[in-house]
Amino acid sequence: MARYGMVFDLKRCIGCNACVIGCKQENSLPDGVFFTRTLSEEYGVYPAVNRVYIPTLCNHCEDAPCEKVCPSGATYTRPDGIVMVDPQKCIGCGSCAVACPYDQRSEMKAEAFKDGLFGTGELTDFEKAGLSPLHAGHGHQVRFLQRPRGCRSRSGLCRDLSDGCAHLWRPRRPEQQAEQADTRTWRQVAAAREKYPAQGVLHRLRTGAEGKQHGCK
Amino acid sequence: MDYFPVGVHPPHLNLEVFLNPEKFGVEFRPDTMIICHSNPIWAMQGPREKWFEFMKSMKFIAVSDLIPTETTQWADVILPSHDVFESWNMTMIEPPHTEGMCMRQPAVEPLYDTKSEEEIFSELAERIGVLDSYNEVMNFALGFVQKPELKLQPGIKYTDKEIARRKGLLWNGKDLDWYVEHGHAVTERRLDKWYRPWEGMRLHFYIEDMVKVRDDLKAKMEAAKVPFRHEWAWEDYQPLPTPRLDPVHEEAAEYDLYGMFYKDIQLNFGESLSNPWIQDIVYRDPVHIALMLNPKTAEKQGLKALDIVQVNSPYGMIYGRIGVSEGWHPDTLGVSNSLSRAKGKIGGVKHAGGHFNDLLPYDLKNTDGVTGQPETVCKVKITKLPDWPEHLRNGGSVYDLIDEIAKPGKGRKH
Repeated sequence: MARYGMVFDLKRCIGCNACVIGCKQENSLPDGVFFTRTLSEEYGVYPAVNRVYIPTLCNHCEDAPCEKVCPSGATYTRPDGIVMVDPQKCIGCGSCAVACPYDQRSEMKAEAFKDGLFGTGELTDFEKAGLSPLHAGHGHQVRFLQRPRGCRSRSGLCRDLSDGCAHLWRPRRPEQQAEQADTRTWRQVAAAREKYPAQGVLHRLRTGAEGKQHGCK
Repeated sequence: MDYFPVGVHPPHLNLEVFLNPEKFGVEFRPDTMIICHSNPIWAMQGPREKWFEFMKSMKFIAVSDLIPTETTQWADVILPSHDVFESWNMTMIEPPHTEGMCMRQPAVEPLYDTKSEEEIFSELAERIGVLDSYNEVMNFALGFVQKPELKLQPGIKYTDKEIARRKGLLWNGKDLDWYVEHGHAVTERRLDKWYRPWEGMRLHFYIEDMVKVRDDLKAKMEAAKVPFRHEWAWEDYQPLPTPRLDPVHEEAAEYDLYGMFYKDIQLNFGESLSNPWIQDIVYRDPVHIALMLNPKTAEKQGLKALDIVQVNSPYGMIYGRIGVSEGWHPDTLGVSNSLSRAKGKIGGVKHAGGHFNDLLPYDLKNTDGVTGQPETVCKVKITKLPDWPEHLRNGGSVYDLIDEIAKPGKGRKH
């Protein structure tokens, strides 16, 4: 069975956060909850200084740490490698949020639903419709390919937004799967960008756990 | 426009004229204001308090906009308008190498009882009793006088769609259905329409027009005894590319840094912060939640990240919290546009320690005599404070929100 991987062309990512906004919009996420984030780090000393951006979301890790710590079995991995959360089984313990190496698990606080996006306590029609699949007090991650093929999937928006830009969903090729142990720190990514300026660098998100300690946002 | 030969209307001088009507030969006091898709209370430079006085002096303010802003809060009447997805438009693309008309058509049904700007202003013109003159002015402004059959007729109100249709017809004789199919009519510019083609396509090195315009304007100002003719920046009218010291460099030495503002791709001029999704990412970005200094500059000034400071320019002051970044020039202080919204009842929008524009000059001396463009940089000095001033303590400011985000397990932190 084909397994899916997320590929980012970091040479082309300018940290615009359009994918973050698109994800929040498509999933109707409350304030402070993100299924996609763009991490950034400044490097160098003035005047030779730059900033590197790395869009980050659920990487559907093999041997997913969030699945291992889930006490209720709510988190599970499908045969095609997609990590899912069954909201009916989730008890909201937050273990997955602690275990996720990419800080990509979100706990829905009850007040986030109550206050609304504008913080007035009044939900817009958009929020009322969009919040229904989310459950206060439960753990969530990006909902991936939950809609049947042929429909516009929720996760499809990040590709639509960045078409020709940074994000591409592609089935992993065998040689890519073989590189799974290869993880990179942000600085290594920056160095790689210097090394491959013309063709750009495809940063393959792996099962490694280096994102969290460098996350700026 | 009569004063600035290659410029546009310099709105920052409205305040200067309002404060000094005699000097500028204004013999009446305006008491009505109609504002269209603009947020001067937030966008203009000069002290907010003076702008508030300006607005308070108005007997009636009508504002047409599609979102609530600092300025709509001053309105006696708000005229809600369509947004770009709800309205028709036809606009000229930017020359010089290509030119043509691009069409925009509605993608969604308009919400509620909003109207297009064209409909709003036609309606206003009719109610005021000036619709005929309004249409005549529009005929000149939109170029319909070139084809009499396209001219707006007296006594008739036109929609945005009809105006767009006529602009398309004016350009290439094609009706709206042609534009709906093609989207735009863009062609390369004919060579004879390029800049100064009679000079063999070359840019002038000695721009004699500048001297002629200067002398002409000088003579007219002298004849009319314009009160400010002696402080006009005549030296700005240079026929040759000539470096001139910007007045900002001549401020007192105690102002030892250059203050400048900046925006970001998701932030534009700060107005998008009324969108809670954008606010949610902007206030997590270190460069948008502090007054930025180079680390070496901060050290030299005895400052460190998170220090509370007061920033003074010769024209105004703001408060803020220091952040450091190697990306910042050592002689500058950076203020993100995210920190320059005014306190109000707009959902989600937070005020910070004052508006960067309060620091900027808004006088003739700092206005380019040729283009009318205002100075957008100022000299500043920084003073460290032991704590926030009273009005910023627990006042629901940007900084309170940032602190809340930073608390583990609290509020919007996830």
